[in-house]
Amino acid sequence: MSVVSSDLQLWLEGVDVRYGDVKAVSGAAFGLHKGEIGCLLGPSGCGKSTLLRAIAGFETVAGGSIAMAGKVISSPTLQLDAQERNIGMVFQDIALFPHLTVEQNIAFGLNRWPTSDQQARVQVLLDLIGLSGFETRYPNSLSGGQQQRVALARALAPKPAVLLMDEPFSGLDATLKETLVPDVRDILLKEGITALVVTHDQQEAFSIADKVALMNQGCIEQFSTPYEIYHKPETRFAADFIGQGYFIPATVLNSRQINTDLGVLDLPQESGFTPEFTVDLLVRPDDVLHDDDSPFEGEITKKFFKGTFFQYQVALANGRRLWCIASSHHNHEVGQRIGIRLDLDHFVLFPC
Amino acid sequence: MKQRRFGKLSTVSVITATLLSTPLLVIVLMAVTGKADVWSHLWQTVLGDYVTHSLRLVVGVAIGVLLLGVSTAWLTACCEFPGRKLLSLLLLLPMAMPAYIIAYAYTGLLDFAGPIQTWIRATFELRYGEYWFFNIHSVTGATLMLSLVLYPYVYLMARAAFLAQSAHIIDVSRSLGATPSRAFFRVALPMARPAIVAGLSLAMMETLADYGTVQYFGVPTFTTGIFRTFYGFGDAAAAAQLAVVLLTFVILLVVLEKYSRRRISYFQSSDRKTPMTRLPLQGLTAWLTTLWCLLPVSLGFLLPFGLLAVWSTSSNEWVQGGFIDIAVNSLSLAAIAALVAVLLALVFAYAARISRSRWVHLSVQVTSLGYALPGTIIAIGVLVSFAWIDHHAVAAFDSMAGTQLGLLFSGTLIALVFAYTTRFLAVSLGAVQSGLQTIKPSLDSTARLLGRTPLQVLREIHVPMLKGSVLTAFLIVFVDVLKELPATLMLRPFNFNTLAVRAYELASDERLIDAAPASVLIVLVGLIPVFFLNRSITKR
Repeated sequence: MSVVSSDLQLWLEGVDVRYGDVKAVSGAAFGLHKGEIGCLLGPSGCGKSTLLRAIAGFETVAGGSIAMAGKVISSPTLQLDAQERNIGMVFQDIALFPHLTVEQNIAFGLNRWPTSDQQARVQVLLDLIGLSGFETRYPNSLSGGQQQRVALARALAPKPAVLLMDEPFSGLDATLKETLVPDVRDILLKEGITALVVTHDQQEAFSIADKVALMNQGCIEQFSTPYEIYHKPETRFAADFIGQGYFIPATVLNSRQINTDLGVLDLPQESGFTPEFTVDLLVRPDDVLHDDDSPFEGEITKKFFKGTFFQYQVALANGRRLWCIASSHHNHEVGQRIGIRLDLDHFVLFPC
Repeated sequence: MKQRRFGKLSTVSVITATLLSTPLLVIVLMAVTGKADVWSHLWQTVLGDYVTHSLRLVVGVAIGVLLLGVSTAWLTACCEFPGRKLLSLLLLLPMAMPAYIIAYAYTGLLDFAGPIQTWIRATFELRYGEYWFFNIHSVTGATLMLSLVLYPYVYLMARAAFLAQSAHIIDVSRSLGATPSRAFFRVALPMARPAIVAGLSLAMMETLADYGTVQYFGVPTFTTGIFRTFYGFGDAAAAAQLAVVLLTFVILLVVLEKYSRRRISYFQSSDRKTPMTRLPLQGLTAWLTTLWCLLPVSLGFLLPFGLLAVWSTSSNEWVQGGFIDIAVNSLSLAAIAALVAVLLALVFAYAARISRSRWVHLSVQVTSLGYALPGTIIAIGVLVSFAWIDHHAVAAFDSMAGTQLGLLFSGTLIALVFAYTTRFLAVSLGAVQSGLQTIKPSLDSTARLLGRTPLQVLREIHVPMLKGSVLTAFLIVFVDVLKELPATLMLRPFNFNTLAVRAYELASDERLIDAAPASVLIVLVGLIPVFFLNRSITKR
């Protein structure tokens, strides 16, 4: 059995998963340290659930390897059975056993433990998920959020080395999600478990994960912290998929300056592009400020009131559109022209 | 390991499906290779009658079951009136009543010697032929009998569809100015139409398959014609040709049913959060509604069952030698057939769940068509195939091994159980599959991840969760076999009798009083699965 870098609790290297001739995942690689919460984020059909199932041992890998705590568990020549991987999993449809009580559900994976230890562990988990007193209830008498927490406790009970969660919040309504997602993060941190969550919702990914693997068409486009994914997208897809924003064309003047529709901008570091080269600059809503003194103007085409601020869509003279954030006392009407100014911290440039 | 198990299950299901479809293939083969002169003879003589009668029957029953089924379904689902809850359950009772048995009861009530005509003659001092009275032994009579016991198919499907309709849909149409009746005809009814059509096609299939009622009423239809051609004229090829014509109609109905079932899901909103508020009916309307819903219950169950129960007390058939034997025969035969059907259903259901093979799924499709096949056709197919095996395969074995096995399969219980399995495996498969659907694959995965072997998953998750559906499957097949008449009549071993055949023989000999005990017993046992249906309906 090959040994790999052992300070990583979960480690993927060049993983390919195939369905017949279709490559569902190709060359997936990333690693999670012990206690880290990772997230596979991507549009539906990008292969994130397939990759999760491969880690769980429900799919075989056609190339590369998956390792846990330095031990390879999946490779084209080796496939450890799902139940021997010491992996816990929470499914999208929650999948509580309907014929067992809350207590019996949580203790289901503890069948080899002594009875007293089982009871103690169940009590600890019930406390952790805030459902003490629900021991003898059946799943159908619980609310959606309660069922989700029981499913989490059941997966955590045998103290797995890694916990996988497949779209765990997708069946819940928005208000419930808002409280449950941080709750689940707290529970995972308290248990100190390494977890990998699959989701298509970036808000969910940002609020639960330490590291996000952004997937598209079977490939991992970027693996980094939520902050970096948002502010330093490495690919056009990442820039497009995460957050809001528009690309505006720019011409490279020299290694530290570019020329845009909204003036010449100084780059904090060298762009790496040669002069005269045309590039696309990513402009997020918070990169565009409302400034009456600015020489550049835009006409408001859409207006969204967000409480503490307004988000305007403005059209430049040449028809190009931008998002602009303005504080909530700058109330303008659609059709009005306002002064705008670029204020970028992060310059995300892609060649045209 | 997983691969190996799946291989076995798949193999068993594909082989079983092939075996079960043999009788049907044999019939088609016989029809195609049979001589055409018999065909033209049939065409000139009886075929016209068969077609007209069968069509009149099917159309009449369709109208009858729609009228009774849809009206009662909508009233109990969407309106509030005295006795609604009880009636919604009672309306299922006629399901327990086989059509040929209700025919015996009404014959006893309405024929020349029955209490009503006797009373008319006595009161008005009339004699035979001096007055008109409805002759129940007619196409109309058969239509009424079949409608009274088959409407629950439509009732069940339509009721479920009406209940699944979101209250908001009706509210929306009301807010757009629709009157309650316009909301019903423009919104509720069209939305329930696929479900109604699915129930209707089941009722029409049963009508085409009916043998006991039309034979007893002397109405020549396809089923009686096939039977007569096969036994009376001893012409298997001609019988097969008639069977193929009948099958064409049946296939049309199957296609209609499958198509409608697929459409049901499009027409029902998946999340229904607001429970429907029933339209409260008041005064005379309310009581007329109660009466209307009471009508099919009384005519389809209470009255005929009451008559049979009363007659059975004055019959000494109970203590007649052999009655106990016949009852035991019937019940054990039904139990064996139900057991076989349930075991095979489990094999098929699991093979379909585990395997991605096209052959396995085709096998499931093929076997699930069995319910549409009339018993007469299956019986002929089984008779001919088993006779062929006995005369060729077993004879060849005898001459080689020097044994004298003789007729190993023909006229044995094996043939009978085989025919029942062909017909009713679909029923048990449906029940088992719907149970297995509630065990989502993620439950299996979760249990496996929590350290269980596949066998432990089966024992700890599947067995407890599947118990109910398996029991239901067993009971439904058990009762269906108990009621089955034509295949039993044709395939039973010499000197072997069942309750259904006994009742049929006595009724045909105009000994209705003596036919009552066997009939009552069949109906009573038939009530058991109806009781189960009731429970699932009240839960909703």
